[in-house]
Amino acid sequence: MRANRARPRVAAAAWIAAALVISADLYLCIRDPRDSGRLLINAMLGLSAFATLHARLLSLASAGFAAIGAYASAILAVKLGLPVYLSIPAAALICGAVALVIGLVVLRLKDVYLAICTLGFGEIVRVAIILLPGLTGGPTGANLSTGFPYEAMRRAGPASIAIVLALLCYLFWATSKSKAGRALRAIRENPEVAQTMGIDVVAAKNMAFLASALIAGLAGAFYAHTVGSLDAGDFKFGRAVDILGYAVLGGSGAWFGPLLGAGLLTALPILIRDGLGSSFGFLKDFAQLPNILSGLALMIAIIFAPGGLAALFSRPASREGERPAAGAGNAQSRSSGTLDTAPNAVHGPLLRISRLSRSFGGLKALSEVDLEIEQGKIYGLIGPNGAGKTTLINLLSGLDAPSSGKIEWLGREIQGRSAWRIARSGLARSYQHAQLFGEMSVLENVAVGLHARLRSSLVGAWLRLPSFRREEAEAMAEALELLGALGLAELAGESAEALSYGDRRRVEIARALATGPRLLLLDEPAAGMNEVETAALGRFILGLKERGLAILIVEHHMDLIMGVCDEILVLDFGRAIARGSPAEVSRERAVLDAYLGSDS
Amino acid sequence: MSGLLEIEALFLRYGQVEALSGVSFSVGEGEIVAMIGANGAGKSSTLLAISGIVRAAAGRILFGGRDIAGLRADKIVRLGLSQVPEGRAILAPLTVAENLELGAWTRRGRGAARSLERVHALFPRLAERSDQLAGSLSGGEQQMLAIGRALMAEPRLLLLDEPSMGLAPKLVSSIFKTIAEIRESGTTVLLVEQNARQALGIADRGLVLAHGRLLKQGPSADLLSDPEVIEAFLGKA
Amino acid sequence: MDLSLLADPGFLLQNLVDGLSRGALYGVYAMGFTLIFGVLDILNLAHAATFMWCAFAGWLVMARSGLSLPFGLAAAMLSGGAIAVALEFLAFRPLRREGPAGGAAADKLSPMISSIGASIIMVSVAEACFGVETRRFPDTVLDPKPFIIKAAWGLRISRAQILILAASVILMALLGLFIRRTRAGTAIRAVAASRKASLLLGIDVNSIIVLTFLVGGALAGAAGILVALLTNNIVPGMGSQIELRGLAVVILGGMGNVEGAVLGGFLLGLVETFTIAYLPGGSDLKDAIAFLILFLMLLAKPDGLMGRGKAERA
Repeated sequence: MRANRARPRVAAAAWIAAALVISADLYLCIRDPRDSGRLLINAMLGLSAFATLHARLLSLASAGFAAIGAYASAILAVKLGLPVYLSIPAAALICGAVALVIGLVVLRLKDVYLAICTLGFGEIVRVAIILLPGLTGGPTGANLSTGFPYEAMRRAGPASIAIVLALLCYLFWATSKSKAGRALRAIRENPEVAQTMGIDVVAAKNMAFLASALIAGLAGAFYAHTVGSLDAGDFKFGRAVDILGYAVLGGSGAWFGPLLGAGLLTALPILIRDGLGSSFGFLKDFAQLPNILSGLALMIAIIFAPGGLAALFSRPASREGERPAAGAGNAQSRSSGTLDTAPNAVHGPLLRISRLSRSFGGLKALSEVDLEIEQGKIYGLIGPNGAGKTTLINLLSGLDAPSSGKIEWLGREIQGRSAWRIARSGLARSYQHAQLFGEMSVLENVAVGLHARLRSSLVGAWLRLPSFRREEAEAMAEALELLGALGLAELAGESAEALSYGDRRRVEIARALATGPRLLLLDEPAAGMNEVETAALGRFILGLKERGLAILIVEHHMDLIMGVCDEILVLDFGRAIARGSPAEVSRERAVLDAYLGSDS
Repeated sequence: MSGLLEIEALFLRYGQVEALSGVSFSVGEGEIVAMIGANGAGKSSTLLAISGIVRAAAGRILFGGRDIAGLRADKIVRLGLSQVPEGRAILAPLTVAENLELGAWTRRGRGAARSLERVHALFPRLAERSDQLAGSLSGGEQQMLAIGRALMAEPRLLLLDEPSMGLAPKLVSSIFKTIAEIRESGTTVLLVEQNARQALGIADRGLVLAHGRLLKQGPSADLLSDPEVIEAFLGKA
Repeated sequence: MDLSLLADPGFLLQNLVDGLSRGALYGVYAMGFTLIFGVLDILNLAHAATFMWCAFAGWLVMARSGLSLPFGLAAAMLSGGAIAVALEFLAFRPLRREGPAGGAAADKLSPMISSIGASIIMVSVAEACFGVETRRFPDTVLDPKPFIIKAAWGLRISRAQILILAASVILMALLGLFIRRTRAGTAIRAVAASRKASLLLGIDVNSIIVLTFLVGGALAGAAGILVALLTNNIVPGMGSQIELRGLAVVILGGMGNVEGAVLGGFLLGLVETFTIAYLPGGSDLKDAIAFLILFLMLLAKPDGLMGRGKAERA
């Protein structure tokens, strides 16, 4: 593909750009040590923005949290006399608490509205600061500068900030290599699909928001102690926009993106003004130059390079996808090991649907449908367009709730439950249009499916414990095995979006299988496949049946359906109009009428 | 033979999927041609390519002798080709009257009153509900509105994408009757349908699509009783 | 709270008038903003910067060149339309690469960010050109002495306020007529409802979008010059106050809903004025009110009072 050929050149340019930014920043720090503190704090704020933007949450709350952090630590230091190493973390924790509370309501909102709400949050913080002069010293923080222990910070100064920043970078890096990192990347691309992989998207977003608030609070607290005096205007709207700029310019695809962005946007205006100022004297007084450059950089970045600098680097995915070492996967331990396996057989039907109905306004998409699915059998669901097949699948996987009726899965009612819980209980699905996570490798995509079955905690990932590393290796081995079963092992390291359509469909099935399901819902798996591929798919599905899986296939490819299914249900206008073996169903008059159209 | 619409070796791709692989056919003036086939066969894709919503990868689309492949959608409408898209795509927050009025957009209001009378005669229900919001109409009424709106442009060729979709059986036959009436008044019709029987019932000729290729074409009466066609839908018995 | 204030009808009437004129300004500003959102589903965060530049345009025409009020108004509205159209071509259209029918839903954010960039540039350039000191209109433009109506408990109403109320009502009526009764206005509503359907009707969607920006920008310009005449305080930073209020009004009235913007504008204006008047310490709260309303609306009724926006995830 064209993109791949250009990649090495683009990546080289990206490395050069990064090197330039870093050298510019180092020069800046040497030239004037005060700037280094500012730079590090901006970098930290960039990380704060990354935490949310990486999950595609357009939160502009970092400035507001930084303000809270700054004032909280200043108040704790001055009024309560807390030493630096206590007041700063305490301020961060206060921000975290606030984030948990407002996150509960704010994170429900869609993109643009979330952005507005978090902007509003920032303004409310600013106004609150002005309105509580007793606590905050009013708009200019007057009574906070006496007794301020900024001597301590002056001495330890930027070094302590740098250490904390380095630690945070490590944590972000370690997270990106864990299942949490994969989950966040999955949410970034497609939150709905992530849900059906067993990822609790709501919890993940709250965690991201919390992390963002804690880091911003830290940055604000450091700022307060470094600068020694506070002003309500320090963190107003303009600041929130600056921080957004770091993330957009640097790119929110990788943790180092916003760092580069912060480095660039902090250093560039100063250097230009000083550099050009010596040649073009009038520029020295051109105070608006930094702002104009920031604005231009923002526009140019978003129009021409929306992924930012980070997107230009070679994909870490292609390195992730390397085959795990041969020793990592022992034949025996592969399917059992430390990964959870499916529980033993259940008596009676796995799934029972009773009188399931779904109406949208006046339209009856599904009407009183009954169905029972038993272990180890393959069911087909067919019907003309608009018959209700996709509606039924969405109801089963938890992406939608019925208007009436029951869905009993493994003996418990699941209608209306969250999709991620349903996925974790063993009901997996694939999608009609192969919704893979394009920015991840094929192997990683499948690994996302393993999410709920991996038991290591995030802390374990941070500490790189042996148990964590072992589990990751086993996970990758199992993912590879699943790909191998579908004949896709050589594609493991490829980027998912480079695959052919047919291959993508099969990777999707592998990913759904990784969740360890008892029942697999396949939504038009053969769409876009030719006869040879369809036949291979049919053989594979029969193989799954032998492994003990129950399968429900929605399809239009009649050859496939008739060839593999034990029982078929035919829907038309939301109602079940026929059911039985393939032979029985294809002879039924009603089915013929449904497909070819009735005579009036 | 040069018909009103000539499709030559049309190829269409969505990303890496080839939705149409070299489809060729023609539609003569005054005909009703029905395009039938299983889901995913490429029927809707053909119409989207003709009306300019998606760009063909290769091939020619000749309308009235002029190659319109690659032209912008609104320019194609001005040439006299109107489409009633799948799912109707009516403008819900606008009234029935406003929807119809917009149908005559390309004629800049000339003769719009006369066209409106004709549409009202064809669909009396729309006249009754003139000031109602289009979003509050029933499915059948919305379909009537969508067709009426397309007719307001007085097109030479009307493309209909699955007009019977989502409609109750009773309404379906009345919609098809109406389509036959539309042809009587001189408009050529290319109809894409899932309901093969009723579509072939009013059509002169049929085109059977499968997997992005034209499987068969011929007089509709012949196709209805052709076992190959049944197989195309339901697979090998 | 001073309870005697409640019993004073003159005070009430004064605040009513002040609140309505303030609200009228918010309404005119928000109408343009919501129109653009309705058609493109994006927040044009450079609307406030446009507003500010038009105030300067009006000032340049009236205070510097000495032309009379109608010229100033015209200049403001024309420059507003021009700036907004420029924004469409520079900041928004390049992002619609897939063509007028529009692409991925995930990219509702890029245009917003692009407009933020544009806004920063516009404000900075204004600062560079005009500096930070306040510009004012000379008294010849509009006599600042207010009318005092003895018959109505000594109500004070300035010429600026009268102009604002009159102009706003006229603009609102004109916009309403335009949107509802003209071919172009109906086309705008069509594009706002569905770009694909509009294409199939033969509507040149890109041109309609440009028209929308023209109208929206002109409204921003009108708001700009009217605010300038009222406050007589023209600075490059004057957009920031109204920007967040504009957001609050638009959320209040429902995104894309022009009548809602008018209603929301008046509501916010009245609530702000009455809070300052009747609540002790109210003038400090003034800034917070808009944001409070914004917050509460997004939490309680995100689709707005008159609804259309789909604010929450399904």
